Amino acid sequence: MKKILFIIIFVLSFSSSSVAMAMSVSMYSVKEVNVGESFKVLLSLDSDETPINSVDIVVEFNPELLTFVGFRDNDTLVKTWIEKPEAEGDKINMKGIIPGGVSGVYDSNNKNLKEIPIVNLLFKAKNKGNAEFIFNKSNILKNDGLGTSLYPTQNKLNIIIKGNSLADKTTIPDEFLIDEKEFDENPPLPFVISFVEASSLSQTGDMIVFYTTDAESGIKEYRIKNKSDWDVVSSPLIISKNILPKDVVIRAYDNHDNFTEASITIKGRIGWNLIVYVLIFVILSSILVRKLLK
Amino acid sequence: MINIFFKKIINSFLLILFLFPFHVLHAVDIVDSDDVIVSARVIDPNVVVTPIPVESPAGAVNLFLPKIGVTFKGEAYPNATIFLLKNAQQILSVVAGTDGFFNMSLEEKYEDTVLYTIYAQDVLGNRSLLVNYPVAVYSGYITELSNIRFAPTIVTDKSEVAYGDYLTISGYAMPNRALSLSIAGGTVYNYSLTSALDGSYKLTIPLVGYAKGEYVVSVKYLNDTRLSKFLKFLVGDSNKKNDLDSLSIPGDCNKDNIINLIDFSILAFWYKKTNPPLCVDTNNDKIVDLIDFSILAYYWTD
Repeated sequence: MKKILFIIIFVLSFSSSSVAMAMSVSMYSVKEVNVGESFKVLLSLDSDETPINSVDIVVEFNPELLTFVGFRDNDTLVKTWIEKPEAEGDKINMKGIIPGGVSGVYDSNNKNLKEIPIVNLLFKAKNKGNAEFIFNKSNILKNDGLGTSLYPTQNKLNIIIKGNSLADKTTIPDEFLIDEKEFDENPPLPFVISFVEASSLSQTGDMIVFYTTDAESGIKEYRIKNKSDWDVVSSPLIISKNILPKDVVIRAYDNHDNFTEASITIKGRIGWNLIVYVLIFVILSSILVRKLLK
Repeated sequence: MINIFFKKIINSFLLILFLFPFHVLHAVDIVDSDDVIVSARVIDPNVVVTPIPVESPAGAVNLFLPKIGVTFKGEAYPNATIFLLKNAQQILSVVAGTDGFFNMSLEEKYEDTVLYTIYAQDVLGNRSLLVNYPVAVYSGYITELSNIRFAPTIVTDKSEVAYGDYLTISGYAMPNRALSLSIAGGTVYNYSLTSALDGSYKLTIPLVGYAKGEYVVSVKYLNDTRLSKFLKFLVGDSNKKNDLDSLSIPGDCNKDNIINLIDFSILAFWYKKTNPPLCVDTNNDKIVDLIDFSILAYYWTD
């Protein structure tokens, strides 16, 4: 009987070690904050080394206790957003891709791949209480050329928000601090604006496409020059051709308001060459007519 | 007596196995997914270094030792150009040797998780799929990623093949390697071939027995998991040659044979809109949703 028991336990030891780790999404952040403090929540995916390239995630939070103030993707892996993280009531929706896909993070301190950091969500503590973050939805797509859906298990996060007396001052770890690189003096990387002409294949209008990154604090927004103002825009941007060529200037701002500027000249419906030829023709014609009249 | 003795030996053995941490019995495996090896070398902190990223000729060996750095080593195709992107921005390129091997290094300024992307372009200008390496970079270390491999490049001579006619598939791989070519439609057809000494391969297949319809062709090294691009072709009523403008990559609406931000932007324009054009609806389900973007992300080349 004892022998049988030992054999069963021995076999179970093998089984438990050979079962693959399940795919899971998790959130990581501070355990406690004070009212008025801002912090990051890291969304992370353990894909069990399955290559993935798309995420469709909805996170629920308590808007009575917290204010969602934005996101950072400068040190995470999803940077190409179909829908950037945005709050609607108590839900933050986001959809994005990782071109080429990833299976995890290579780390020389670990034998296995580390979890995939998806995005950092930024919050400000508003009122005291127990703030719970849960995944309302987490659809992950495999990098297999087919868009196969994977449904990972979902892990919750709880943060205690305390009063803001000096005695209760908490220290937020660096990894969850916002603007941990205090002096971001470097602008975003240089970029180009691409003009995509309307085509019968794509059936889009004329549009411009632009993209860049910022290593220190991440890209906050893009703005287009509109006379003396700068209007917030996003890529792709539908643009109409004028009769004459026009210059389009776009600035990419990082979260410390450093910016990099790029410009493109959009061809007009009538090119400058044609205008010059017409002018020359008109002038020569006028001269000729005058001579004839004399 | 002897039976009791053996029983005690067996029981003791089973007890030890139960108590002994099981994971120690596994051989230590330092190889990560896709057999890429990640190792760290500690540099001499007394050395003063001047980081100089080098765009090197064939058989590149970088000669600098920065305080934080990453090195990439692997195999592509003979004389291929290997491009390195950091967070989607191209920063470095090297040319592989005549044997297909390459080596490049990069200095970093911060400890961080950085997304490196590499792709190879063969001597005819055809590109591999992107390979991403998100790497945790540490101060005082050079993180070396070796054993990087690209699937062979692939092109076809026709986008449509007349019923019973021939299709030629070609590309580049490492020299003298066994390849496995697959054509999938309703049935999967597999072919074996070997690349030449210059890394080129070419196979002309009579499509006898191939029913009319759409097929997808891909190639890989024998016993390797990494697949090339999937190229579509039709078996129909007439031959239509492939030219540089039409390699039938899903989502390539502007037909430049590159999947990049421009193609993404075209898809983004049609996101959630009705009646999208065929070229953006990569899975032909009449809507542009995350699945179409995922397919596009798979084929991303730049």
